[in-house]
Amino acid sequence: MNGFDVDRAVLEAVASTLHGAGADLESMADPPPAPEVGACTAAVSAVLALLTESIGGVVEGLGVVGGAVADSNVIYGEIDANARTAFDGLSLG
Amino acid sequence: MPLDIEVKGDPASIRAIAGWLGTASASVDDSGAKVRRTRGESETGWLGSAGDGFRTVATRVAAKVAELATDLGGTRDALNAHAGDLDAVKAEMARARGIASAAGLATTETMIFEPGPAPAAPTPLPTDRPATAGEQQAHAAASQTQAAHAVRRDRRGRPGQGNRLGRDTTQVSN
Repeated sequence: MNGFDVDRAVLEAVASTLHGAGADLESMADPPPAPEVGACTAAVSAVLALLTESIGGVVEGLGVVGGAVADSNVIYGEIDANARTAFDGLSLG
Repeated sequence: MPLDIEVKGDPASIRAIAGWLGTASASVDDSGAKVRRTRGESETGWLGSAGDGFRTVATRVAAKVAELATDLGGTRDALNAHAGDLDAVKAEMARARGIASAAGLATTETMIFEPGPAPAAPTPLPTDRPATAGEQQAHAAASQTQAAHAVRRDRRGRPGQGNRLGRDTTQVSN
């Protein structure tokens, strides 16, 4: 298409959903106490740390993407408002 | 040399972590579904190059999230399997301890001890005079002890003969 077509309510909902998805995962981003696995305890702890770090990365990523969508929504609003200002200032004599 | 039968590891704590990983996997999967849903919603409500950029990012994020959910689920499955294996090995060691104990060996939660030296042979009764009552009693007791030891040794060490629990004890005795 030529140009863009934005429903700002959709962008708001998308940003909200992404932020909510990240918040839901936050409690999982802390490693649980390591289980007693004998000689494998250290290795299992390392795997758990890696996995919880990855969950933390997802939480952060969802926040960043949600924030970018919210920022885009603000920018679209500002562009429209600025364009409107140009018309408001017109003097048609 | 005593036999070490200790099996380290706590299946219950392993299963607890596996349960946590299952919950985490489901939560991560749910987040991935939300990302895919927002991507779909954007297709009608956000047209243009920025919207296209968002959908590219959302597709990549959803794929990474799905990969993580799979890893979490795979780790859960591996830990559950390991807990099952530990239960089985612990049960086998408990059975080995029972066999050793039934055969007269000293055992603890973590060790099966060696049989120890055989009892001394009975002192021969005198041949040049009648044995005293005490000598006869000591001889009978020593003979009885030696015979009982031989029975226990045979029960422990006869390869392939099994024991009263119906298992071959060759490996346990070694």
